Order: sequence, then structure tokens, then C-alpha cells
Amino acid sequence: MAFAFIHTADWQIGKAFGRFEAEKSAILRRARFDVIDRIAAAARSANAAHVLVAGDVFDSETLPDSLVQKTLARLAVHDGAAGTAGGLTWHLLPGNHDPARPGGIWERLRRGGVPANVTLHLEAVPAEIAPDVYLLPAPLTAKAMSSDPTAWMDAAPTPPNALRIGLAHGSIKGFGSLGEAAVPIDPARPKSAALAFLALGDWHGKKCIGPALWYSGTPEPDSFAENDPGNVLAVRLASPTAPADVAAVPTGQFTWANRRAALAGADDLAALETDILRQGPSVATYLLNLTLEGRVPLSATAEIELRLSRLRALLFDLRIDRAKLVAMASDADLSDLGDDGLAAVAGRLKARVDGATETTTAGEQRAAMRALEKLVALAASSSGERRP
Amino acid sequence: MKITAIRLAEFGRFAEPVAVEQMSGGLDVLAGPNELGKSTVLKALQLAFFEKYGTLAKKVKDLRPYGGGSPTVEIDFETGQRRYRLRKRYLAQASAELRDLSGSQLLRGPEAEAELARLMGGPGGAGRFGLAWVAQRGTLEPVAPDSLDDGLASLHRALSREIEAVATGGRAKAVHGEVRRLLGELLSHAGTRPRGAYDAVLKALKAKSAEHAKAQSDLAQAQARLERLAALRTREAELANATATAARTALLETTRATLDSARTARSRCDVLTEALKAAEADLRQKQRAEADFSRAIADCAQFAVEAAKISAARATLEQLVTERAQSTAADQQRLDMLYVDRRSLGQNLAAARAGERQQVAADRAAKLAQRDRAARDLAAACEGLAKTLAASPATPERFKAATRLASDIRECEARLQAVAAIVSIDYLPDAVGRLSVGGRLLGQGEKLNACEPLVIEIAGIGRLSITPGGDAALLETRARIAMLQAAFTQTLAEAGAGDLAVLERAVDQRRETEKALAEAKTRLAALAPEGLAALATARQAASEAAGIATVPTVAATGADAGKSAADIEADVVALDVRLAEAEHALAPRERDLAADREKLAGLTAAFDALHRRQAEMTARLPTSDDERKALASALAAAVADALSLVNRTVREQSAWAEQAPDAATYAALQTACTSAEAACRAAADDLERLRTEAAHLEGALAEARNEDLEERVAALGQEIEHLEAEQQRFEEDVQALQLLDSELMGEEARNRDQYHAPVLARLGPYLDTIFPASQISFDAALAPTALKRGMEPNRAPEDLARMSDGTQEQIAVMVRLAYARLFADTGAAVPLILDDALVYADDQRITAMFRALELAAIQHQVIVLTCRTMAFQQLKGRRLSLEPWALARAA
Repeated sequence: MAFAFIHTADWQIGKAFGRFEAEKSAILRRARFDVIDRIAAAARSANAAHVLVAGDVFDSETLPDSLVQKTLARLAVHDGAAGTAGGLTWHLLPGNHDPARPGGIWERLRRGGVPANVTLHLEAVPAEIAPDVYLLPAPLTAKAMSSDPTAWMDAAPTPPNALRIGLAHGSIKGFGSLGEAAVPIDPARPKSAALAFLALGDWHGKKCIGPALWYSGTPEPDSFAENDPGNVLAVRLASPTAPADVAAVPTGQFTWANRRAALAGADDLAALETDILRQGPSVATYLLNLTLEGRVPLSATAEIELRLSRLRALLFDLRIDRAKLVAMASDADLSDLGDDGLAAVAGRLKARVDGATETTTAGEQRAAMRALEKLVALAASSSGERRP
Repeated sequence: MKITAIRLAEFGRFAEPVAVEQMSGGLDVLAGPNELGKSTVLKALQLAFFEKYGTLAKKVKDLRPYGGGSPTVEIDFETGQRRYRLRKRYLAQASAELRDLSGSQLLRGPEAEAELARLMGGPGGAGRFGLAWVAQRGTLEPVAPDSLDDGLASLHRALSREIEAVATGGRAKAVHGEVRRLLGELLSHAGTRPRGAYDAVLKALKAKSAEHAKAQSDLAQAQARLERLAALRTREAELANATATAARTALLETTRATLDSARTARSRCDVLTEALKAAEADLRQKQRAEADFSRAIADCAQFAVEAAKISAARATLEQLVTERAQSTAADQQRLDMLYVDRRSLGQNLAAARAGERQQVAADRAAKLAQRDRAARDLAAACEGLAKTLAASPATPERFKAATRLASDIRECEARLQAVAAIVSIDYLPDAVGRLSVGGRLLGQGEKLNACEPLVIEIAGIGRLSITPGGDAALLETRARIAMLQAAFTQTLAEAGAGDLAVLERAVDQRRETEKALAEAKTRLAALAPEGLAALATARQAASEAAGIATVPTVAATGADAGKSAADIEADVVALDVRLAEAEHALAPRERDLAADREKLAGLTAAFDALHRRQAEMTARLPTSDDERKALASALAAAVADALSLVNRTVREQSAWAEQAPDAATYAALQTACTSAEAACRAAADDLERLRTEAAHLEGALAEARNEDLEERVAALGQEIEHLEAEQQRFEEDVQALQLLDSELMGEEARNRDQYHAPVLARLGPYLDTIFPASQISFDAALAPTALKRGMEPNRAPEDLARMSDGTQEQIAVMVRLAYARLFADTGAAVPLILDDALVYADDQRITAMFRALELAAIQHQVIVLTCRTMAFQQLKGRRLSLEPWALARAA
């Protein structure tokens, strides 16, 4: 009676990463496709013959047919026919990104035919996916639904003692704003519908709502949200009433990380640099969202920028928020300007940067800071030109 | 520096050596006529101080006199508490000597030139002289220190001795220049339009945004198509559903069958309704034939009874008509007799009226004859009176003229008497009566007026002649009296009167006659208002009329003879009443007679018609009673057959009518059938249309999918994000550069103010002489640019270039005075030399300028060269003159 399967969701194949330049966007897009193989590997590791995908297989309904077909072909690879360790059956559920509506992506798939090891669950009817194991799917037929699509599971007919597994996509009631689908799901559904497990999708991170109620999260991270993405869940059900044995299996290729660094000078970047370098070669798959704050001398800005550019070269992507980083002109900076009027100008700009003027706005402060940086740079350049 | 003497030889217009000696070092004025050589003196100074002795420059050659020679200049000057004599000879045998008159040092050649340069302030020191030495018309040109060699540098040196930071330094200028250059790369000259890379980013952003919007729109359209496709598929499923299709078809068939049954029943019902109408018409026709036959039989019997009745009535009426006709004829005869009487009476009345008219005409002829006679008598009387008047010469006019002449004579005589001597007679008691005039004794106390020569005889003694004087007025009066009396006498004679009283009576008599004539004329006018002739004509006409009337045409006859017309008229009225009564009585009788006659004619006509109908009817009916009975039976049988057919048809029609729906129900059945057909057709059409539209949508969606719109939107979004970051960077750069530019400009302005302060401080006292409480603005090169008059804060500065020549010149001189004062205050004094300056100043201004020059001369030397001797008389200072220079002695 024991049944093992992989719970995954939110593949969103075809997602366009618009915040990145074309080359990086293409790589990130490709990674969401390649994760299929790692999921298959995780299934084999867990001796699971079934992979339940809890919605949002595709990012949109308007994806190119070629990409959709390519996805099916990649799923078909893992049918066990080619001498692989074991065939996998992929159970695909429509989510809010790819709802099963007439004329939609799933209809095209069904009309065109899918590989034998792919099962589309486009209607809310029980499906026996293994002897005495019934999958109760709750496909979404629209991007938003006002009623709980899992409600039907309470009365879904299955043989006595059958193992009932729910598969759904939506937001858990009382789970707050977690998830992006406007689809409510009752967290008491496993109990009311006698489900051994309810596999959920939509919340891109791994989340255990209850012993039999889990979000697997997306297998390949796609944002800087800190919700433990990049896993699939290996689930083993011993009996219809036994607690589910759930284990997270990392599958992500890219790491999306947030860091905050307080700087007083360029050397304060050292800790960050060390942490990054400690990652070794995998640092090339790091996407770092770095927030810098603090006040640094003008003379240090060039060094800071240099070290940041080195970091950028190491990482897959580095985004820097400098809104809270203030470059300060030191007395030494100002003394270098001499006494022919530039120092006086720099002094007034510095007063603005320091907010000495009551009416100075944040925008004016930034402008004053940039003006001060330019003044120091131009003065230095001017001195250099005058030197014999 | 102060110049104390200038000496020239073989220089310009001075072929002979000349010298300006005894210069005070304060205010020195060389005034003289044109061509005196004042400008040559200035040239000599410039040459000596600024041209090395070895130069062969054209301007030096141009200074040789016409007769040739070597221009030689000697100048005595003081500087640094020492006195020097500089002597330079140019061109042939060129030489230079600088002698320290306070000591014994004598330098020659290059050494002299080097020492001179040192004394003038070293390199750049010459600029001071350029600012202070102003040639002819030089004051009219804008003061521009930076246009002179070392001019600005000289000022800077002077200023640097007073202020620590002399304007913004070169480094700041370089930085500012770079800021401007960088701004210029990003913004247009006006600073309003982006350019270069900044502009390119904005344009690219705009283009990409449009592209992005288009892609988003395409994507939205694809989503909308997807939604539409879903709706179409749902609808298609509903339409293609087998149960629904079967239901639509069943409904259509049922509806059609019901409609067909209804249509048949209604059709049959309509046919029977028409047949019933025909049967009923046939029945009515047969019933009418039967009734007509029965009525004809009855009519035949009735005709005979009616004919008898009419015949009896006609006989009675004929009798009545005969009686009425006789009675009416008798009445008519009586009426005719009355008409005869009325005619006779009318003739008598006419005759009576004619007699009366004849009498009236005779009376009128008699009256007119009487009037005619009276009028003729009056006319004769008038003629006699008129003749009397015409024969009388005593007219009122003559009387008036005589009266006026008598009055004039009296008036003249009164005037004569008033001036004549009065002779009073006063006899002695025993001499009374001894005096006489013209034989008349004069009485005691009588007074004689001697207006005419008077001869008084004195009995026994002689004559006493008194002759009035020969006064012209008296003579004239006498002549006038004579003339008046002659006229008076003639007037009386013309009037036929001996004196004025006779004439007056004669005139009164004339007036009486005139009055009688007027009265006679009035009466005549009353009798014959239209004249005697008209009156005679009227009398004649009346006489003729009376003559005609005397012959009557018809005389009254019978009983009326002798009756007056009025009496006869009364008879006529009475007869007319009787006539009217008779006519009134006759009229109804005649109307009754006519009515009876008409009634009789009607009875006759009715009888004739009845007789004709009876004949016709009898002709149509069978003649025998048996035949008539047989015909009656046949007609009754036909009616019964027709009635039977009607009854059968009614029963059959009722049966079908029960099956046929009414019009409303039938219309509803038709509508239901049409709806069912339309529903089937619409379902098929909808299905077809939905499938067509779905196919189109799928095609469009496939195309959209192949374009991978989401990826395109995302990619464009990324590009836009990048461009927006670039735009923001440019905006921040522009903002920073503009801020920097503004700050640097502000700093420069502050420095400039500080830099200008020393010059402004020197200029103030001079400026106050003409423009009290005013300020001059300077540009960065210390050239004056604008004048702000007075203390009014809102008053705009005036551009110097736009001011009058006089004001420009005065300000230029004062600015040079300020420069010279600055040089003097900073230990580098130079003489200010003005050659023919202040040419445009009015009297008031030139006086003020003299005060300024005098004020300046306290601090440094001021040398004024002018051709306006008179105008410059007020200017204080030492007057200089050109004297012969004993060159040999000086040498």
C-alpha cells in the first residue's frame, strides 16, 4: 500500500526574466527547463514513479508551441523506455498561470496528444494512478476563482481504503497573502476529504501547512523572495491514515540571495567578498541583491566601485541599491581643492549633502553629493593636467 | 611717477626743438589751438617710455619731420623719490640715456632701457600707462583693460596688493570650464534641450517604450483572444450538445404539425363560410320571388279600390274649382273699377297743382318788376351824386393841404415875431392919437411887432421908419412865409374857396354827399346783388314764366272742379286705401283657387298612373286563377329547398370552426413555428460562425505564440529599465552639473564683487560729482558695463553702450581716474594724460569733471592736453606752454 511520489509545482516554464539583460534572461529561462531532469533524478532517488506537479507548469497560455512541445519531449525522455532506472509518470495540473480553459494551452496539448508517461488532469475527477491510489486533482479553469476548487474532494468517490491524494493550486485560507493565485483553498481539506496528502502549488517556497498539507515551492528559484525555494518534496505514504513522510530535495541551479552591507570605507566590503569567494565555482550561479548603506568618504568611492565591479564579474548577477549610501567629502578632500574658490563651493555642497540646509530635499542631497563627487574629480583632473 | 618736463627735437611737426618745462606733477594743463602739437607731445611720451631706441618701426619713422632727422625725446620724471632724465634718439645715431638726477648715475643704451623698464614696474608694468594715457578720441572708446598689453595684468597687480584672493583662480576656471563643457555635451546652449548621448537615450527610451507598449498591447490582445476563444468553445459546446439539438428539432416538428392542422381547419372553414353565404343569398332570392308574386296578386285587387276613390274625389274638387273661379272674377271686376276712379282723380290733382304754380310765377314776376324799377331809380340817384362829387373841387385832401400850409405860415410868422422888435405905444396925455401906421391910428398901449419894415407916422412931426435887421435866418423865414402863402392861396383857389372856413364847409358838404352815395349804393346792392342786368334778366324770365303758366294744360273736371290740390290729394289717399283693401281681399282667393286646381291635376295624374300599373301587373300575372295557384306552389317549394341547403352548410361550417384556431392563436402558432425554425437555423449558423471565429482566433494565437510576446515584453521591459536607469543617470548628472555650474558662478560673482571693490571705492568720489549715489558695474576684465543711477533698488542698470556719447566719455574718464588712483594708492602711480577729452560735456558736466580732475591731481599727476582754451579756463592747475628747447645746452 505504501506509495512514494515527488511533489513539485510552479515550474513556470517559459518565464521571461524581464529585469535581466537578454543573455542572462535566456540562461535563467533555460534553467527552468533543465530542472526537469533534476526532478526526475530526485524521483529516482526516492524510488518514486510518479511526479505530481501542482499547477503552473507553464508560465503563460501564450507560450510558443515549440517550447511546450519541447517540454513534453523532455518529460517523455523519462518514460523508462530508454533503459533508465525506472519510468516516471508526470501528472500535470493546470494552475492560475496556465488555467484549463476552452481553447487554452491544455486543450491544445490534449488535442495534439501527450507522451504516454504524461497525464493531464484537466477535470475534477478521481484518477487511479496506481492500484488503490487515487489522485483527486483540482485543476484551475480560470486565473482567479471565488470558490475552493478542492471542495469536490470531500465527496469524491473512491473505493474503500483507497489512498486519496489531493493535487491543487491556490492560496490557503488563513495563510494570508502567501501565493499569487486568487484561489482560496481550505486548509482543513485533507481531513474533510480524507486525503493522505494534499500537494499544493502557487507559493514558490517550501512550506508545511500541516502534516498532510504542503507547498513544495518552485524547483528552480526565480526571485529574491526569501521563502526557501529550489526544492521538490519526496513524499512517502505508508497508508491512507499514516502521517506522510516528507523530505525536501534541493533541485535549484541558481541561488538568489539578499545581502545588506554597512560601509564606512572600501574595506568594509571585505567580509562580503570573503563570503562570496567561499562559494567556489558555484558563485557563478549566484544572483546577489546587495543593499549598501552608510557614509563613506569621497576618496573611497572609487575604491568601492572598483571592488564592486570585481564582485560583479564573479557573480551571475549583482544588483546594488545605493540609496542609503552617502559619499562624504572629508576635510582632506576639501583641502585638496585649494583656496581659489573651489573649496568654498565644495563646502556649500557638503552642507547640502549633510542636510545642513533645512529646506534641502533628499533629491537635492543626492544632486549635491553627485555635484561634490564631480567637483572633486574635476579638480583632481585639473591638478593633474597642470602638473609638469 | 610724475613727469616734470618734456622736450622734443626733430620730432613730428616740430622741426625746431621745443620743450614743456616747469610741470607741477599735479594738475598740468597744456591748452592751445589745433596743430599746436599737443598730440605730438603725447606721442613723444609714449615713444620714449615704450619704444626702445633701436627700433626702426614705421610708427617711429612716421614721426620724422618733413625735412628729415632723428626724432629725439627728453623727459624729466620722478619716481620712487628720485628724479630721472630720460633721453632717446631714434633712427640715425640712435641712443638712449637715463640719468639719475638725484645722484650721478648715467646709463646708456640697453642698460638705460633695462633700468627704465624696471622703473616702470617691470614686465607688465606698461599696462598702467596704457590705461592712464588716453589719446585723442580715446575717451570715446569703451574702456577695456584686457584689450591692452598687460592692461588687465597691471590692474590685477594693483588689486592684489589690496585683496588676498584675486578673483576665482585658474583652477576654478578650468573646473568651471569643464563643467560647462560637460553640460554642453548633455544639454543645448539654452540649457533646455537634451543633446548628445542624453538625447540619444531619451529617444531610444521613447522608441522602446512605444515598442513595449505595442508588444504589451499585442500580448493583451492575445490574452483577450484567449478569453474569447474560451467563451467560443463554451458556447460551441452548448450549441453542439446532442440533447439540445434534438430538443430544438422536436420542437420544430411539433410546432409545424400543429400549424399544418390549424391551417387545414381554417382553410375548410373559410370555404364553407363562402358556401353558406351563397346558399343564404339563393334562399333570399327565392323568398323574394315568392313574396313578389303574392304582393302582385294583392296589388291587383287594391288597384281597383284605389281608382274608384280617386275618381270620386276628382269630381268633388272640379265643382269647387268652378265656384271659386266665378267669385274671384267678380272681385277682380270691382277692383278694376276702383283703378279707373284712381286714374281720374290723379288727373284732377295734376290740374289743380298746375294752377297753383301759375299763380306763384305771376307773383314773382310782379315783385321782380318792382325791384327792377327801384333799382334803376337808385342807380340814377347814385350817378347824380357821383357827378356832384366829381364836380366839387373842395376835396378833403386840399382841405388838409390848406390847413397844413396855414399852420406852417403861422409857425413861421411866430418865429418872425419872436425875433422882431416890439414897438409899444405910450402916448403922452396930450398926444393920444397922433401916431398912425398906414393911416391907422395907434391906440394907447398898443404894441406893434416890427417884423416887417414899419413906418409910424407922427402927426405933425413926421414918419418914424423901423426896418428889421437883415439876418439870413430871418430872410429865409420871410421867404418861406411868402412861399407858403402863395401855395396856400393857390390851394384855396383850386378848392374853389375864398378862405379856409369856406373850404372847410365845402368839404363837410362833400362828405354828406359821399355818405348819401354810399347809402344809395348799399340799397342798390341789396336790390340787385348781381347787378342791374341780372335783375332785368330775372325779371324778364319771371315775366316769361308767368306768361307761360297762364295757359293751363288740363283742367280739373267733375266733382273735383274748383277743388284745391290739397283736397284732391285727400281724396286720392282715401281711394288708395280702398284699392289696397280690395287687392288684399282678392289675393287669398286667387291662391286658394290655384291650390285647388293643382290638387285636381294631382288627382288626375294619380288616377292615370294607377291605371297604367294595373294594366302592367295584369299583363305579367297568369291570367287564370289556376295558373296563379300553380305558380304560387312552385315558388314555395323552391324556398324550402334553399332553406334546407343553408341549414346543412351551417352545420358543416360549425364543425370545422370548432377545429380551426382563432386568428390570434393561429398567429401565435405561426410565430412559434418561425421561432423554432429560427432557433434551429441560428444554432447552425452560430455553430458555423463560432467555429470560423475560433479558427481565426486559433490562427492569430498561434502566430502570437510563435512571436513569444511575453518574452518580447519582458525583454523590452528590461531594455526600458536599462534606458530609464541611463536616463536617470543623465538627469542626475545634469542636475549635479547644473548645481555645480550655479555654485561656481555664484562663487565667481562673489569673487568678482570682492575684486571690483577697490576700483569701485576709488571711482565713488569721482562718480558722485556727476552721478550722485550711483554705481558702475564691471565685467570680469574690469571694463565698465552699466550704470545704476541713484539709490532706488528697483531701478534697472543702464547699459553704457546705449548711453549718450557725452555720458560714455565722462564715465570712461572717471573709470581711468579710478584706475590711476588705484595705481597711485598701491605705490605704482602713473600720470593720467587726457588728450582733447571731454569734448561732449555740457557746461554743468564739464565743471563737475574739472572738480574730479582737480581731486585726482591731489593723488597723482594729471596732464590735460586741450585745444579748448576758453572752455578749460575754469580748470585749475598749472598752465604749460611750448617753449624753444636749447638742445645743445640740454645735451
